[in-house]
Amino acid sequence: MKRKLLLWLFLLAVTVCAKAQTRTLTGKVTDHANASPLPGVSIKVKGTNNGTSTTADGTFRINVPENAKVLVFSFLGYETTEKNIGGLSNLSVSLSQAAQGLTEYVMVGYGTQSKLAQTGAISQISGKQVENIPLPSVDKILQGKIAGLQSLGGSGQPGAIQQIRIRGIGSINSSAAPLFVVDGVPINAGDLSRNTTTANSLAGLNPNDIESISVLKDAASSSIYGSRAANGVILITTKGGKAGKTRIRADAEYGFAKPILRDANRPLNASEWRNLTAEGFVNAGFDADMTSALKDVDESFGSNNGVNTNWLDVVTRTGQQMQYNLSADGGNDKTQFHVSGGYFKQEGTVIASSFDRVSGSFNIKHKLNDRITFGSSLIASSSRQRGPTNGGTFANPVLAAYFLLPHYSPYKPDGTPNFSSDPNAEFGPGGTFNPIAIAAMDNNRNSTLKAIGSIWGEYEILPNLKFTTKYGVDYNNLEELGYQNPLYGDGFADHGISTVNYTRYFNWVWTNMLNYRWDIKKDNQWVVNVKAGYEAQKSKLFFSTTETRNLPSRLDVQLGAAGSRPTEASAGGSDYSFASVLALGDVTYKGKYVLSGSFRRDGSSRFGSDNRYGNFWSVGGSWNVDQEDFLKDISWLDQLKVRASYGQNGNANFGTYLFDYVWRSLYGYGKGTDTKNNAYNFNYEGAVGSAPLSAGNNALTWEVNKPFDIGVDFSVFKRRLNASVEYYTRTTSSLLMEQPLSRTSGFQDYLTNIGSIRNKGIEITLSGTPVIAGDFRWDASFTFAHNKNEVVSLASSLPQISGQFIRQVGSDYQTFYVRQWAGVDKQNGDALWYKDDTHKETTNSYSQAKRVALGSASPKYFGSFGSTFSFKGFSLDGLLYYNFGNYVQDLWARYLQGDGFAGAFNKMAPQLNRWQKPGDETDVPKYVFNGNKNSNEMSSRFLYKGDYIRLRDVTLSYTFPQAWLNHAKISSLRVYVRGTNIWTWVKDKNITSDPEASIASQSNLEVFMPKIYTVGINLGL
Amino acid sequence: MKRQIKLYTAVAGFTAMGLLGSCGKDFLDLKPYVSVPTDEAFKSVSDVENAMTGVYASLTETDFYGRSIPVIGDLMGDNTTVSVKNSGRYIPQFKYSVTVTDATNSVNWLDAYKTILRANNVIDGVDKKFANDDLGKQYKAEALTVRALVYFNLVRTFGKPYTDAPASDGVPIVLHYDRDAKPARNKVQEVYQQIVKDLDAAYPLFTQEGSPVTRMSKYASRALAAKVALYMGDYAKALTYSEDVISNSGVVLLKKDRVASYWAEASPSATTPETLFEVGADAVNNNGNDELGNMYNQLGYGDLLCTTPLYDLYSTTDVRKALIIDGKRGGQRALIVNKYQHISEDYDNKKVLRMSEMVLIAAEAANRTGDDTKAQGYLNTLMAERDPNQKYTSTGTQLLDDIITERRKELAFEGDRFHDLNRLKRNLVNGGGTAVNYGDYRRVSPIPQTERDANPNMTQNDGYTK
Repeated sequence: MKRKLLLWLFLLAVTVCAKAQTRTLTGKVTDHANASPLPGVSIKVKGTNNGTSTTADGTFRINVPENAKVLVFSFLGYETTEKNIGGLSNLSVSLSQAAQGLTEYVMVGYGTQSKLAQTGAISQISGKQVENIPLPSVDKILQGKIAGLQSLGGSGQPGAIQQIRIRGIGSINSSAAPLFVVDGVPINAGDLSRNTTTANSLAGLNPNDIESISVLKDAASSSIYGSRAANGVILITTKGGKAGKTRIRADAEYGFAKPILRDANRPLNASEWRNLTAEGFVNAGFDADMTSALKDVDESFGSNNGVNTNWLDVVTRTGQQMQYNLSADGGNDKTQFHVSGGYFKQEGTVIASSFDRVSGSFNIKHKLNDRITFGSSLIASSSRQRGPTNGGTFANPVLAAYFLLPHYSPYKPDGTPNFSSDPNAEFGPGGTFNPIAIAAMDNNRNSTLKAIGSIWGEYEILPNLKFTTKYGVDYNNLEELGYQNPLYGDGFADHGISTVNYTRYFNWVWTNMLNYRWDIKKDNQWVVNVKAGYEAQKSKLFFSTTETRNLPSRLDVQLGAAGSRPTEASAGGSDYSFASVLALGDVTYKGKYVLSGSFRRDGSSRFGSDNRYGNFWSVGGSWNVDQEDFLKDISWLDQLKVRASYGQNGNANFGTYLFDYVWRSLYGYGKGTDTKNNAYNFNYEGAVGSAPLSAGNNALTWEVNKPFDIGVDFSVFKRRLNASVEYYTRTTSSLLMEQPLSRTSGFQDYLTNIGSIRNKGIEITLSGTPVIAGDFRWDASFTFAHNKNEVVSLASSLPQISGQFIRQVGSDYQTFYVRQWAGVDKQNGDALWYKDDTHKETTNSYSQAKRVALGSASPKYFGSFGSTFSFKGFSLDGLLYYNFGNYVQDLWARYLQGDGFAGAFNKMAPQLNRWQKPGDETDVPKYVFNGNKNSNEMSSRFLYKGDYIRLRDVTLSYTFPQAWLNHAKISSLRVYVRGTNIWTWVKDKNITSDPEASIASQSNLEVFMPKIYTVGINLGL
Repeated sequence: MKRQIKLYTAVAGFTAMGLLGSCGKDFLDLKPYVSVPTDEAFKSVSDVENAMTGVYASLTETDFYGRSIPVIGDLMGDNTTVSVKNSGRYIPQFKYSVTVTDATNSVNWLDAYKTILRANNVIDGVDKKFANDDLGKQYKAEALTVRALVYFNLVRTFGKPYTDAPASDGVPIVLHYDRDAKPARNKVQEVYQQIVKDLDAAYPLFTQEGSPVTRMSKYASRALAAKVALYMGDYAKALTYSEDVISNSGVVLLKKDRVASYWAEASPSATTPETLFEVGADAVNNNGNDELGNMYNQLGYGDLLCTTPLYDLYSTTDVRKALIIDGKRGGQRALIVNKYQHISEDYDNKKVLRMSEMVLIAAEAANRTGDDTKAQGYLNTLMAERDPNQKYTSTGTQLLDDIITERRKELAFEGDRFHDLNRLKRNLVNGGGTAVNYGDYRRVSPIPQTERDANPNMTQNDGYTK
């Protein structure tokens, strides 16, 4: 105590002393880019600790020793600048924004971290890269932007779910999707709907409200999220305010979306179908010759009526596309704010498919005094989605496009949609419905209200010890209506069905943390950063469902209250909770060597009663080689960093939101949804029933993931070339697997932790500027990811067969397991399969052919290549996405290329190549009405190579010159035209669906993927 | 010092908030809203009642008694055919090309054992706690009867007929829940022995009278026992049991003026005659588009039509002829089955056991045991209520043939014909004109691949991919 007092006195003396010989200097610091004042800039006399900082208007006043020569201006995110002050009493300084590099901070779990101290594999992209893209959700926009992040849709329905996999598929039965954390709140992501064909909770988040996205890929970066980190973490930070002049931005974009179709897969026209069917009649023995067969076909199906409808044209359309965004931000050194509002709309490529969203955000931060800062943020949106059903449903317009006979008419002669209550009419009550009538008369609607908000406070206990507390809420409220009209279609038999699903998710999280920074000798040599705290989270789901039948015979009264026969009135809920303690930290020595670590202990309601808590951790290290003295003189080397990490995290993402109790052995009552999201009904004849719901497993735990990562980041030639190369291997064990049971137990399987799976691969990210010539500049980027997935162990040495896949040790877990197609018998047109994988013998009996393991549904390589060419104000941007080395399964080929199976439906064009007479060499068997000996059953015939390249984005823009803008008193103006998905190359010309299929690589007659053309304007004031 | 106090306060506050935040064990022990832990499922006898209701609910599944069992029993026989204009359903069954991966077949297997699990739990639940309770006994008797019904259907689908090869492979007998068991197949005769044992045990246990026909009763149980005996070729017992039902059940044989309205009823009323057991479907609990009626009704899929040979068997004076409409489908003549008339609201119940069949069993059993007079008596009792112009005077094997023909006509579209043809070891030509002789491997369904993938002890039937 005494010693400290002496120190204070000494310092005071020095100050007083110094004061005697000082002079005063004033000035202003501005942003070099837009001349706006910069508050909070640190100003120091070079070589001393003597300094101050700029006020809200960017001005400063500093007393400097008479002999001071240089002032150092530093500000986070800007280049540190030195100025000579010899003889000056007033000076203006403009700071340039820092190039990416060591001064940059990255968003990491529970805070930010300087790039210098980074030990983990983190990819961060700025909000700029996701702004004003004509796609509804940010996860779609991420495609091709981050090496090793696979983002797949599979449906062109606007607002559809997007599947994301980071560094391969790390789970089989749990979700292999990453954890999404928005402003510190782990959210309920995914498809939260119950009646909508495909929905996406992230579609409620306006990408224009995003400040930055950080993708945490390895143990060092993600393990702090413990049992939910195994498949990566995506941190989304929304925009906050910056002090300074209030900035206003307006963005507008308008355009249209067209379906991506392939000519080879068109449906047959009327005469093609008629002739083929007649041939099928002859081949089936119904008729002796084509003449009588044609007559019979016409008699049975009413063909040859002069109508030729291309149903694909009927159901597809050019949709409208638009988005408008307006935002303002600003503030002073005490208070900063950001507000925004946006509107987005996309019409699907198929009739009755659309999505629109109204969104707003508000963010405020206030510094009460030197110790206390608090703030709040809120993003909220209301989105509406309308979409058709998919797959084999009669009301699916895409099914109709291929199934409906071409001699049927969409409209009656009077121009109204063609339908009838006469079972013998073209569009009678049964069979595939007239999509025009369904689109006009049915209604499948989803209205989602979404909000993510938090309040937080920060208390500086000591200059280097901070306490923060944050309460966040993630709220989703879905109101879904399924209206099936009383006159035609699914609702006909019941005279209308109105189903209303109400679903509410309330998910809260409370986080309390202490942050401690310890510069051990106060010389910036040994620096320790530690954070520790705890977090509690609970997500509560409530839902109710009502269904009413027998509705008024009109189309404008659609809700159940108007009907007479209530058929469902149910409610339920499902909750999950997490309670965690956590700590993370790092030690840095001279900025050269970094050692980091993290620990989290998670308890969760999702874990079986025998295994309620789990520990998760990581260690990481990095060596900033460029900081070494021996490299300081190499001028072309801007950065060289080597890093490695290892740790353990988990995947607790099992079950479904609707039923989050998978470990429990349960008896269910009444009606509901089971572990696999299948509906059950135990009631009977008005009595309440109960039955075993799940076999259960009290020992069920998180899946254990052990990621190892080693990476090199370097930057050379004044940052003209930047590269990151990573190698990773992660083994996920205790996989949640369905242990298949003998069905004689009454169950198909139960979930248990067995088996393990390994993903290893490399990721390369290159970016740079190959050419700068005068005003011309070429920036290029390239990402590459190769992942090898391998099943390491299973419950037994026997392979497990699951649907179309076989899981066996040593091979990719999404390995197709099907019978092998051997073509067509030239003599009789029979389908042939290989008996086994020796390929020696063929058979025309499907049952005699053995299934064999073929390729995988997962790609071997994927990534992107991007380029920006700029010249003066003009800029041409392009991004190509590529995907190689997987197979896509056509689920509907058994009908559409059925060789006569389901002959009462239309077929796809490849059927025209069928075998007709002995000697014909073709791959399409003889067309026999009702089918040719199982030729349509699943085999390698219906697996297609999934390799493709797609021009994801191409944009031509013009940014108006500053001089012109100054004249017009605006700060920025840019106009552009953009094409999204406008070009696609596929390797397999026979592929029947879009190559961009779901993770499991199956096509399911979904809304066609769109190619989108837009024009836009960005205005800054 | 002051600084230290502050730090201490902060840490204490922090810890206190931590305790609040994760508030103990209950925070993590979340229970579901509409289900209970299995070990708490049988606390009271009304829990047993709920569980028994769940057993019946299982019977209603689409690929079980809700649709596939009644469909396949006729389609794989010679009573129905698939229209040219069809939705693609049941084509493998129609074409006799059912494979080991056939979904209908696989789900049928699963549904059977799912029902058995539920029934086993009821039986074990009663034995454990409610063995002396009257309601407990009743539910146990119902569960035993349903279990017998399910095994009966399993063994006649996946095994060779008892009348042909009782020592061949049947299906595994599972009587208690064991999640991890991988049982091998029991012999056909062992399965039948178990069925008989269950039915014998059930009969005296029924304590309740007047239960609805959608639930098992004493005489439903006995009726099933009669049918099982018939399938086992134990004709003496078949006669005794069917006569027990005819004489003592109090259920009235369907009269001719009631035939049309009997089939027009979606659900029985208190005065409905005939039915001993049927699987219910009502306006709330039903399979919607997947209900049986949609397969026949022209306002539904309407794929399945009556075959011409069957239609031609009904004389013009036969009241049952009106249950088939000589109509059109897609411009061509179609014999439209009208036994299932409800494809919305209250859907049709599916008849499983009814008095007419008991009369036919009695007739056949009497004939088989050498009492043709009695056999003619029973047969003509039925004929009087179906086709008054038809009176049988035949004897011996001709009488047996006549009984089988009347059995076909009476029970058409109720899922029995194929199994009868198997029991009788007769050849058949199906609705598509495919001849499938007795002995053809396809007369026995394949064990589903999914079962064999999970259970190495399960053997496959001859002729299918092994």
